[in-house]
Amino acid sequence: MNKLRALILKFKSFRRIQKVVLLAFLLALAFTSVRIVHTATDMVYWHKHQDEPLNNWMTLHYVAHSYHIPPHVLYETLEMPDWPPDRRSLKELSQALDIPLETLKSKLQQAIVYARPPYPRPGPPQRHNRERSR
Amino acid sequence: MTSQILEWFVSYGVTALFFTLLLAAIGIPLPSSLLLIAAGSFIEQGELVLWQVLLFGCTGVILGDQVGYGLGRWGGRRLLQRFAAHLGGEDKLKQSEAFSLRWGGSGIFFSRWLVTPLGPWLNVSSGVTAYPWLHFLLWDILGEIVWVFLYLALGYHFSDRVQYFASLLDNLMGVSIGAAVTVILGWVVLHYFKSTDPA
Repeated sequence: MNKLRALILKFKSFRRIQKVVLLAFLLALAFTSVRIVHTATDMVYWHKHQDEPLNNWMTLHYVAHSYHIPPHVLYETLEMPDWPPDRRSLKELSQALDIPLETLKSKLQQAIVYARPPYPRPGPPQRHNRERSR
Repeated sequence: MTSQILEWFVSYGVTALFFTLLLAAIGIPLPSSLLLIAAGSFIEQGELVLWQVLLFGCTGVILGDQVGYGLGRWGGRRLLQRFAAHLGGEDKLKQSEAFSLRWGGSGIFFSRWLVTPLGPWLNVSSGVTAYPWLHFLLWDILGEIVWVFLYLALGYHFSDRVQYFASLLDNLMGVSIGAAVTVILGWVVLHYFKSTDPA
């Protein structure tokens, strides 16, 4: 307690410029520490959750690429031809297919679950799926 | 906001990249690094073409930097000169011009790709201190090419985890700037407390 009082007294004895510089230094130190903790927790989070959550901007191909599954699985679940590749975002797709965005995401999520272990690896795209687009 | 920008990018491709990078270079807080990482990922997936991304990305950001420089040179400088004339800080202005001429090049180069949040500030301050425009342009082009290539390469390499790497880089940038400021202020604290006695 006495030490704390001594510290406060010492701080009060500083000139104004010294106080300002010291406070700025402490603020910068606090900011950096917070950012370091933030970075570390972020890294731990991503290490535990290997998958990126589905986001409005993602395309079907990006989702397939990110989740390491063949893209035709996603097209099939939305009953869409997988050729030519669809370049629309999930949000645009949900509007075009007239499905609520969240429903579309959960459909994709379900398809992803069944396309990965422990389920067997999906086979090649169904022939009619490509022919439908011709 | 970030998700919205990415949606525009998916819809409008390199045109959206051009405008985002241009506005971000002027100083409007838009997720330009994230967009470049996403562009690298889309190149890897064959959805975008490298030369188009390079052309539109570099042109956008370099043009934006010139706008920032112009604002400093023809707006900020006049304002500063008026203030300096009234308050008598002309010698300080001369000093900062000399400093800018001495260190401006490396500052411009490194703020393009290593400490990117400082970029827009340096554009304006280079204009204010009348750093020679051709030198500015040269360092700017060199630095921005490094930035665009670096972030595209990161996006290309980590193409399946765009959001993760963008967030990680953002955090690391905050840490590096915070650490640099802390070290500088720490040095100033030591300097002030050694050279002057309290009260």
